[in-house]
Amino acid sequence: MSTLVSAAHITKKYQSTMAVKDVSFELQAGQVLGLLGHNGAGKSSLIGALLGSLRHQGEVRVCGLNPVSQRAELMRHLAYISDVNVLPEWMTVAQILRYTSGVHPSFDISKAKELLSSTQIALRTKIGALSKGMKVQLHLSIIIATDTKVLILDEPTLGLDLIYRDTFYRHLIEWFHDGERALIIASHEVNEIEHLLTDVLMLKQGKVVLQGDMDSLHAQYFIVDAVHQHQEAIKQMAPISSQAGLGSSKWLLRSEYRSQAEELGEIINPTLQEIFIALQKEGA
Amino acid sequence: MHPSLFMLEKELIEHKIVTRLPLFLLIFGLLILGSIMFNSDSVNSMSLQFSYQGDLSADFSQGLSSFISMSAGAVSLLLSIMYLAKTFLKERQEGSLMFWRSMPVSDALTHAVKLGFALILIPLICSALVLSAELLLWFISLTNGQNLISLLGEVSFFGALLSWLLFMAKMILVSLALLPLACLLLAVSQVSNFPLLVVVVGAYTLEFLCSYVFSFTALADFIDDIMSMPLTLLTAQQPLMVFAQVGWLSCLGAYLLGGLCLLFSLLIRRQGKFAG
Amino acid sequence: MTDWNDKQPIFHQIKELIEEQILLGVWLEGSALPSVRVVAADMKINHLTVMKAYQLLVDKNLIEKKRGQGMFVLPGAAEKLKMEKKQLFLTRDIPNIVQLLKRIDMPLQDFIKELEKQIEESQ
Repeated sequence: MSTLVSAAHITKKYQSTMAVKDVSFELQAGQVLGLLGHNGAGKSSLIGALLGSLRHQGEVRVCGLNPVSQRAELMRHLAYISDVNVLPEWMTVAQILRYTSGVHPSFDISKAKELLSSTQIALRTKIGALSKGMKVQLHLSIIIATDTKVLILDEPTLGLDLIYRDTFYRHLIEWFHDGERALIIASHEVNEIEHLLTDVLMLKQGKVVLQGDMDSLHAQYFIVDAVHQHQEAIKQMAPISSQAGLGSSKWLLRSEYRSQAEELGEIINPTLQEIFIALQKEGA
Repeated sequence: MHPSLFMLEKELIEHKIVTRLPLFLLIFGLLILGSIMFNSDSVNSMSLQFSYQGDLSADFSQGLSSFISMSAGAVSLLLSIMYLAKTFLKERQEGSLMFWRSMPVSDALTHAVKLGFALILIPLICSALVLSAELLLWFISLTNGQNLISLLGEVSFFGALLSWLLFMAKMILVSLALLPLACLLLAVSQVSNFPLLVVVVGAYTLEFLCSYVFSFTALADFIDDIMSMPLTLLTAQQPLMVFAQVGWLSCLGAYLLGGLCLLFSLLIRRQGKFAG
Repeated sequence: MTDWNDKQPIFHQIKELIEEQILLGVWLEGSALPSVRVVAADMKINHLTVMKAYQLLVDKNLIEKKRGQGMFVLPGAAEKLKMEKKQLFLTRDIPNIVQLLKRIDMPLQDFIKELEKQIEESQ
């Protein structure tokens, strides 16, 4: 397994606010990292640092390269899809494929055309005339047809209808499976990406509130569904959040209380979404 | 094919005016010429008019040639400056900057392509306008015989080629003189939304301050010389003399400043602005 | 996107889904199961999860991995699963039924009569 992304002590300060505070992580081939957090939590700044488009403190290496000083070389293996369209609207689909084939050494134009032939995107259409979903699909097709090792997705399915989401994730997963790659997905639609992830990095006001692989994450937290009589006992266990139900409440607890809580009710595995919401609310 | 060719092609797609304006002018000229040609009365009356003025009629073809060359040069200069001020600004405003930066193309190559587009390709396109206009005149003189020859004087094939070569030679000098300003425009257009305005107003303000407030006229002259050099070259009878008039020290200074602007522009581009 | 329950890990749920489908004859013995890539893309999950589920089935000798060809249902897999379900029914479901009959005061005869009636209807 090769390390594809390493970020050490990334810190970004705007005049008075801390956008990112001392974030470090590593990503190997085969890992899918979920970058979670609300708007303004620092996801975009962190992505900017990885792409080499944001001045920051700390050390970043993607595919062993420095994103700022070795950008041109790095971009052979690094790609990025954001929630806003970055494709030039005045080009036609055929023109952008031709341009990419000219400047990108590993771009396989026939592969891109083949991918697009299964969609509704016609080569002669101007990009500006495509729907949001089609633009994302086009961008992904271009990336899949290059030898991209690290792909960063920033809220990729924002504003996409269900059908486009489905095709998007289908192409994405198939592409990811076919090589030694790493994927970073920033999103606040946790439900949608939860089962894709192998690792999670959760930010809140620029700080890491949760970090680790999905298995250890599920080992760190659990939910106990306990009847109301046990309310006081559970409150002793410093519950992170609770959700009242019919006759019983669901409490999110840290794993150190697991053996104690087992006697009080049914143990349930929390979803990432539940942990996410609880941690974002905590102390806020 | 080298990546730069694809990048030039992309610039041509993006800035269609660069090809459309010369083409439009050619067609426009063609229409005017056609209207004159097919209206032989006016040709006669014009030749009549010119014959009244005696000697001048012989110079008319040369006058027409230099008119063609001058206007094509002016169009080229205009297109170049507009392109240089717009190209980086447009990428930034429409958001495609992130896409261009996601391609494995170095900032140096991007700058080289943009400068090459403005200072080589645009003059070349305009030279094609000159060549086709000259050849057209030659062709007309072949087919239309005496009427026009009396109007235009002798038009030869080699004469047409010669004016084209002269135009190219002149445009090389213009591009050389424009190079420092081009670098300045590229740099400014990455930080300001009104690069042309900033450069023009900035230059005039600096000039004004130098000559009237600090009475440091040498600097004011320098700015004036460098800013107006491309245009002076275009209208000059002997373009090479313009360089001599401006002086080698000023030229050197301009290129040094241009180099600094280029470095600055590369530096801003390297740390591309990231929205969000 | 597939609905998962929160009681068991996803790879476990996929394993049970495939077992159910083998029992139903969706995947015949000796035939190939869909590739990890296809299952992952279909269910929008990580391929490691799919591989874990397949590994569980391999461990139970229900499927086997043929190098370069993918996963195949082993002969006798359906029979094995039937036995397992039968066992499960005897040890887990029947005690539950006994409990329930007691709780609602239903005589055994009534229960058997109802059972016979419904089996007849379903045939």
